[in-house]
Amino acid sequence: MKRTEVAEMLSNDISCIKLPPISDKVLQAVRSKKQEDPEADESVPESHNTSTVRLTKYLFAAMLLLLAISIPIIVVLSTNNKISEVIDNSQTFNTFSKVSDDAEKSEQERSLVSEGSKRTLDTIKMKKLCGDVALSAKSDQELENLLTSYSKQNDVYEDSEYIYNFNIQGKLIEICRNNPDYSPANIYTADKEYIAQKSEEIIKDIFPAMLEQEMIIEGSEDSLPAWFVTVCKKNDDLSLEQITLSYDGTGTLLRVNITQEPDSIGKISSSEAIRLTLKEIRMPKYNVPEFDDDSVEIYVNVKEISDKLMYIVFVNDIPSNTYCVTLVDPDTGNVTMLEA
Amino acid sequence: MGMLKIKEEELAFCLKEIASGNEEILEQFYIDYGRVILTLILTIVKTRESAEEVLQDVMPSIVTHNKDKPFLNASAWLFKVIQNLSKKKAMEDSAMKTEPLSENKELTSGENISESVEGSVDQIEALKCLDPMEQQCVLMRIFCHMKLPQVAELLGLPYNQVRSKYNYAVKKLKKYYQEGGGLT
Repeated sequence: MKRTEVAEMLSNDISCIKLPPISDKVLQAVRSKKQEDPEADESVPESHNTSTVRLTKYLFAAMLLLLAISIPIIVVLSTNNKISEVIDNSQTFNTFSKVSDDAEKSEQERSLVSEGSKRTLDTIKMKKLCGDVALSAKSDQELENLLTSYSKQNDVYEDSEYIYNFNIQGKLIEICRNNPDYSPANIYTADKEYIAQKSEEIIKDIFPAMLEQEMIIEGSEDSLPAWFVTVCKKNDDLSLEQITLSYDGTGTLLRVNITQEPDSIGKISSSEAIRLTLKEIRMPKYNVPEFDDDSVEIYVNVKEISDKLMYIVFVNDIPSNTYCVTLVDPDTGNVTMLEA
Repeated sequence: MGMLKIKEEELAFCLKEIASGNEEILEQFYIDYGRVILTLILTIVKTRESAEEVLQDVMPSIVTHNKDKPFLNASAWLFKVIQNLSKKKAMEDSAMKTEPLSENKELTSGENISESVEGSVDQIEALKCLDPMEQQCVLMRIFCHMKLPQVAELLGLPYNQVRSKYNYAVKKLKKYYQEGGGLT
């Protein structure tokens, strides 16, 4: 039995669940929302065929998108600028500084230099390993679909085979295949020994600090990915770093995920640092848009600042893609806002 | 009957329309995705009654969402809402049956409520052979089209653990259906 068949049968089972009617409370809420916003009336479809309305909206959105994409391309081509320059500039626009004016070009240049120096080490390392890599020209939507933890502030590189995702700190957090249509054949030629050897080579080249750590290799021929290799290491800053490599049955590397979770580095735990950060960023003085607790994503890491280990907390509101970054003193709990 | 499988683009469109007060889309959304959402809730809360309550709480969360905020990662957002409300309800249910919660106990502390409150999917026999985490991994992977690293992130579990749970869960389901468990 294939996985798709299992999914199909489970779908049938779930379809049989009796669904309670929508409560009056919900209906009233949506009606009052419509009354609050008269423009919403215009968006109510006249036809009862919801699918047709959706399709029309998608087509309209697609046309707008095409128009939006084609205008800058025409402008760029007409001025004989290299596309790579446009991509570089667009990366700058994605940074926190949000440089948005031609008049601030010098500011952009400074920002580029700063960004460049931040990731120099990793770029050199990648070039040594992968040859010529370049900043990805893929759209945000494409990158969101391909990568598991992409945000607009990330720096993404690619070559013909792989995509390299760097987080806002300039740390490599993910590698995945640069071919969304890649469909591995149902062939299982790679054995455990081959996977171990290949993983060791990759770790040696990209993550040499993890080389001495124990490698856990798990495999299952009837699944994709077929092989998973996990390596964990407790860093000096007490954070736990984990690298997971996945392969198909032929031993082709599909994806690498790198995660890092800090333990407590002082009197205050990392979860307490998060709580203090959330409290701080809600203060009116920062003018941060209201956060929805239900949709917020939080990452906490450890960073050495002036010979002292500090928590660095990233708060990302998923719907608005708004970021806040704070430093939290692990001994006093003092929170310093870095970016908002 | 609903479509069950959640498509990211369509979900984002529906959520935005609902947040704008579109009642027709709300009803369609409820028919399309209500059962999957209810099943996800049932992996965390203990009873059908509580799950229906949570389902009715999930919908206002969408309606009251700021319509000008785009849903860039709609399925992740929706799951967070479902997870938070379900955990809150599970804690309330648990507190009513046992001793009151201590003052310092927080829902956002990362504590795995599912470990302390036994999940129950009372109407889907197939899912009964899985533990709550396995149920969530399967539902999020199959019906929400989430990648396993994303599932791991949302569940707050290590990636390799989620991958093991998912593979193991699928094997159990295969065995269940091959033995005729799905036939009535």
